[in-house]
Parts: sequence; C-alpha cells; structure tokens
Amino acid sequence: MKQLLSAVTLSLGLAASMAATTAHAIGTNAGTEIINSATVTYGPANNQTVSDPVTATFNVDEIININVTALDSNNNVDVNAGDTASVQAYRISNTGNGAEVFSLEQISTGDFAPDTSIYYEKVDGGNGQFDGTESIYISGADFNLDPDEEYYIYLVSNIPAGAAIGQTSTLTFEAISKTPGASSAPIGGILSGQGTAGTDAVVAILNATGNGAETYTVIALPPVTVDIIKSIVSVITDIDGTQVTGQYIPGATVKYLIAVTVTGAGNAENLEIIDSLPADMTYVTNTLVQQIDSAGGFTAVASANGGYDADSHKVSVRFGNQPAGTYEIQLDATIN
Amino acid sequence: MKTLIKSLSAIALLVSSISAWSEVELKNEAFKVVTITSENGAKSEQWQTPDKMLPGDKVGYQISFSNTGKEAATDIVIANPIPENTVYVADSAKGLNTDIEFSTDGGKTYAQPSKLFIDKNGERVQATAADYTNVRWTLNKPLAIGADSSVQYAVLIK
Repeated sequence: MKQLLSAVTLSLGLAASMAATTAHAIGTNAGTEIINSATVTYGPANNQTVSDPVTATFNVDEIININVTALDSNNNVDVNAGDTASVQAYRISNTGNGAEVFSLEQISTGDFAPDTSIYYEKVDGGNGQFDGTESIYISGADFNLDPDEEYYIYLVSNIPAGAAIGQTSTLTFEAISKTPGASSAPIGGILSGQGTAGTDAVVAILNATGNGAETYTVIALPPVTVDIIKSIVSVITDIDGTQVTGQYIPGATVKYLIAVTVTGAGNAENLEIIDSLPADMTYVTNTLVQQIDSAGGFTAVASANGGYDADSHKVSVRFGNQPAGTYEIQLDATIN
Repeated sequence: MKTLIKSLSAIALLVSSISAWSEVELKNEAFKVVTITSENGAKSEQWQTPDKMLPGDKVGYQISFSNTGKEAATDIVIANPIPENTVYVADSAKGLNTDIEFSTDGGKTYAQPSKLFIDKNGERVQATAADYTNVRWTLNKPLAIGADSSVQYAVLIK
C-alpha cells in the first residue's frame, strides 16, 4: 500500500510540473482535457484501503477573439497626392485560445479611393517597418493564427495624383474569422462543434471580427517631374533621296521625336528641350516642329523660341513655364 | 497438507472479513459555477451542468462518498490534486466535519493555509491559492454504515 501511495505522489508531481510548462498567457488551449482526480483512503493505519482515482473530466471550449491595433499616431498617415506605397500599419494577434483561420479585408471611404494591397509579416522576427520583404495577402486566402500569434499588417496604397490638399480617405481594416457562422455571431454567440477539436466555439468579439481604421490625409500635391524620351519615328529617305529601304545608311534622313512628359502639380518652369545631334549627322534645315498635348498637329518653332545652333550642333525649343502635359518636338537629320 | 488448507481458509476468511468492514465509494462531479445577479442586485452562485467551459471560467468539483460497507469507516481522507491548467480558488474548499489542508509540493506535505510557505526568489513567503497543488480533506468522524457526505472546492480554468 505504501508503494502505491508513493507512485500516486510521483505521478502527481509530474502532473504539476507539466502544468507549469504548458501554462498559456491567453488561457488554456481549446480542446484541452481538464481532469480532476480524487482518491479516498480509509481504515486504521495498519489496514488502510486506498481507492482507485475517480475522475471528473471536461474539455476546454474555444474562445474566438482577435485584437487589431492601429500603429500610426492619431490613426493618420500624411501623404502627397500621387505618392506610391504609402503605408498604414497594424498589429494583430489571436487573443482566443484556439488556432483560428481569418480572412483579411480593407475598404476605403472618403474623398478618394487609394489603390491598396495588404502585406503581412510575423511580429516574431519582423521589424514593424514595411520594407518590401513582406508577403502579400491574396484576397480571400486563409490567414492562420495560433493562439497568441501576432503579425504586422501593412496596407500599402497608391494615392491618386488628382487628390487635393486636405482631402482624406479612411481605410477600414478587418480580420474576420472564417469559422462557419462566426462572422454574423454576436458577442457570446455559440457555434456548436465549430471549435478546436470539435469543441464548441464561443465568439468573444462582435461578428468574430477585429477591426481598425486609419486615414490618409493629403498634405501636399505631387512634385513636378519631367520625363524625356527620344526615338526615331522613321527613316524618310535613303541614298538618292527617293528610294526608301529603311536602312540606316550614309545619306539616309531620319525623323527624330523627343517627347517630354510633365507630371505633378504646378508648372515645370522654363521648360526647354535641348537635343544634341550625333556628330555624324546633319540637321535638315526648317524641319524643327513642336506640338503640345498632341493637339493641333506639329507646327514650326518660332525663331524666338528656339532652333538649330550650328556652333553647338544642338537643337533647342523653349516652352517656358508649363503645367502637366506632353511636350514634343520633331526634327530631321541626315546620316553623313 | 491439512495444515495448508486450514491456513488457506483462514486467509480467505480474513479477506472476506476485511471487505465486510467498511467500503467507501467515491463520486467525482464537475460543475460550471455561474454567478447569478437577482433583480435586487444580490449575487449568488449556481453550480450548473458543465457546458461551454472557457479559460477564466470557474469550475466547482463535488466529491461525494458513501459507506457501502457493513461497518463504520474510520480515518477517511479524500485527496485531490488541483487539475492541470487550473488554479485553486481561495477559500473554496468545504467539507462537513473535515480538516482541510493543502500542499504546494505535489502532495508530499500538507498543511493549513496559514502554515503553508513557499520559496520565492530565495525568500520564504506565504503560499497563495495559486501555489496549491493538492487539496486534502481528513474526516474527523467515522462515517456510519450507509451514511454519505461530500466535499467541494472550486478552480479557475487558466
């Protein structure tokens, strides 16, 4: 009898130490069996009887809960119109006690609709900064979260170039449990048999959805940028000036197109296109023409606004102060 | 040979007489302890059939015992380790005509709460309910033939 008692004690000690290592911050994991075991000893010391343990057992059910925290100060991110990859950051964690599958969604309301993608990064090993190393979330995909598991979520947006100063757009971010029935459940709603390991699931947050919202506020218009492309439109003539083979051979005349695109708010000031002709080419007199915003066709450049300078072997056209648009010049040159 | 048979029957007699002395049967039941607030604001606890058991919920255990033997049962001790993933609720253990003691070392030693100490960061401090690993009831009266009784205690699910 003494041996039996010590064996029981040993197993109890083991149970106690196991309990210490499996203790969980969020609570006991769903599906865990809680076993209460009682024994009775009776009779005089010289003739004790010890009963077998008698147990009462139940399983811990699942709590569905999620925490979503917006990380940007005042839940706002200041942007310029036309910005690309503006970021709103969140931290989400499974505050329930079971592994749970969520879907992630974002929707915008306000003065403009940014083009937004959702990226994610584990908090464990992540840096909390969107740097392009994150994974993109595919709409509708299963987003698995173990109890206590945490992720950074980044809403990465392109702000429309046409947005005006002071305009705002608010993105609402949601993490929604995919457990059947959860997304329409009230707080305390019970989903029979839908919890971990066939337990019941109890919804601890309305619609089993964690959400947050942050705003983009336009504080500046996009800066003026100027892009330039030079291309050959066609080979006009070759060798004797009539026969067109399309080959770049000495004697051939080609038509160049130089297109400048101005984007952003405000004017590109003193816009001037200067084209240095290749050394082995000769400018064809009076072929320099210009066009603005592809309207009205190409017209001759007034001598006051530019022309060909033989000394520098350059063509220049001064457009002056110009807003966003397309500014083009064409000219012909002959291969020597 | 005759002697052997005699002693065998003597043993048989002894065994049957032991089982006839007393026999204590145990029953162990779990309940969900729910706090009910009445219209006048008074709060009371109800022990309900366990359902939707979640972390933070209070669980009540009732261990019933009865003497189904033919003699009074003496020196009855009910021993119950606190289940894994739960913590004992302070002052929840009850039992008529019992001395209630607790252990913080997995049942090796027991004492009353005021005499239970643990080492914490090298200091000897009073154990709290969360430190208890086992609870034990020692009946200070024999249990009469056919009599029954019960003890109770409660835990919180971690």
